[in-house]
Amino acid sequence: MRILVGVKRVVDYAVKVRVKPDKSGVVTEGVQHSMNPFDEIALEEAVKLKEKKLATEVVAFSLGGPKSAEILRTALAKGADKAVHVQVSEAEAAKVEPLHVAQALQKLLEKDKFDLVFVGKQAIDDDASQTAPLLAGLLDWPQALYASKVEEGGAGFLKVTREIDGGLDTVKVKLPAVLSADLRLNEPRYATLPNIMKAKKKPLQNIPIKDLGVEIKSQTSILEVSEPPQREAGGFVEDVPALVNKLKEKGFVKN
Amino acid sequence: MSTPEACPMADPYWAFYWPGGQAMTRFILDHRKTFGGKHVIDFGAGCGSASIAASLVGASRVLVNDIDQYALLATLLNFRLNGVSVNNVSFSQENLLEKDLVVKNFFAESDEEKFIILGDMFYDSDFAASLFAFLKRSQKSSGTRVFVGDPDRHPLTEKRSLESYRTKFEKRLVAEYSLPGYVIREHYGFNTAKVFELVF
Repeated sequence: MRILVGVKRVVDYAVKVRVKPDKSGVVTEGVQHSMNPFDEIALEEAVKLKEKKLATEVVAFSLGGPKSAEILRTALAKGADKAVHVQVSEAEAAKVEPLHVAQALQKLLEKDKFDLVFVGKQAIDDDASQTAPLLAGLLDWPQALYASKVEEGGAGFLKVTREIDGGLDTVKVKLPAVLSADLRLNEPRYATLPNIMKAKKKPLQNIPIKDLGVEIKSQTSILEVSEPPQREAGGFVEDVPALVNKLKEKGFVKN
Repeated sequence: MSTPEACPMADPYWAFYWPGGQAMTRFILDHRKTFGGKHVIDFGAGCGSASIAASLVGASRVLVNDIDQYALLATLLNFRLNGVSVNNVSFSQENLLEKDLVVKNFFAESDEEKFIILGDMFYDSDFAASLFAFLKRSQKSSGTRVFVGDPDRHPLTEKRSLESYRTKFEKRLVAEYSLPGYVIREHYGFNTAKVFELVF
């Protein structure tokens, strides 16, 4: 089984994001970026499948500007065997939508055979959650989204446990398939020194997006990005009677 | 946990007991008769485990080779820690790829079978390409047998890499070892390491 894992370069989860003064988006210049945490989980699972000998090869994929190469190097240090960077310019990178990523993946899959495409359930920057289902639709492959457990499901199948509102949904999915990883699937490993050292020379293939014939044409337009409303400061009360009085005063409790 | 950036030395390959080196070392210990009384070059020795194994099984001469002087020092320390004599051991920091004569002279002393062993040296396909050319030259001139310990890294497994090498060779699997749990946890993506004999 060959696995293609999508990894996206996003603003690091620990960064406090700031909205641009013109409200067109958030500030990304000079801000720490890292691999989308949900993609890290997908990658971890793929490497685990390789360690269990269920997978033969794990290839990391990223569509993005020049700096996406750093994220792919990290993916290689975390256990991916190869990496593919579908390159767009810095300006185009800001306009990439899930459909473009799904289209690029579709084109890659026409050239190179994979049995599984694994991505995070969503990226923490746009929270779109669309790449996996769009890709499954374009390819007409089965999908198993929000995976919290991935197991062998008999020849040509995987058994996937999905986290849904009502509890857990267990599905048997026929390969080739598209999977997306939920938070509780695993705990990603760190890139350690020996892995970083031997990952430096792993193959990283660059493909300009025009070679795939995918055009970055916006499907949506951003009207406005704004900060969440500021919470007003609260106050302290001395004791319970004071609290009750306060509640009555504010009209939360009837007399 | 200390981070990789905190490491005071550049690329300390000698600081790790790589899966391929472990397989190579185990193979030597398990094949005493093959290596006993023979001349052995440990190419890119790193921490020196395979050199120590070769000495332990009675190799007549061992040439520990690594272009990193710290690797040679680490190997010397590891010989001492393991209580193994370095009387039959010499150390070389030469880049052997450019010093065919060093290899030829070392092997010229022996009428027995000659060995070049390589633990986990194939992690870069460009480097692998020049390494294969060197190994072929040595095999042709000195009749060297070449053994490689490797966990299936891409230069030895990936079709595109294998097809790109101008030096053609046959890769004969001679042993495969399960890696201990801590090694699997330390070296991502592998769970066994193999030993191949390369025939050019």
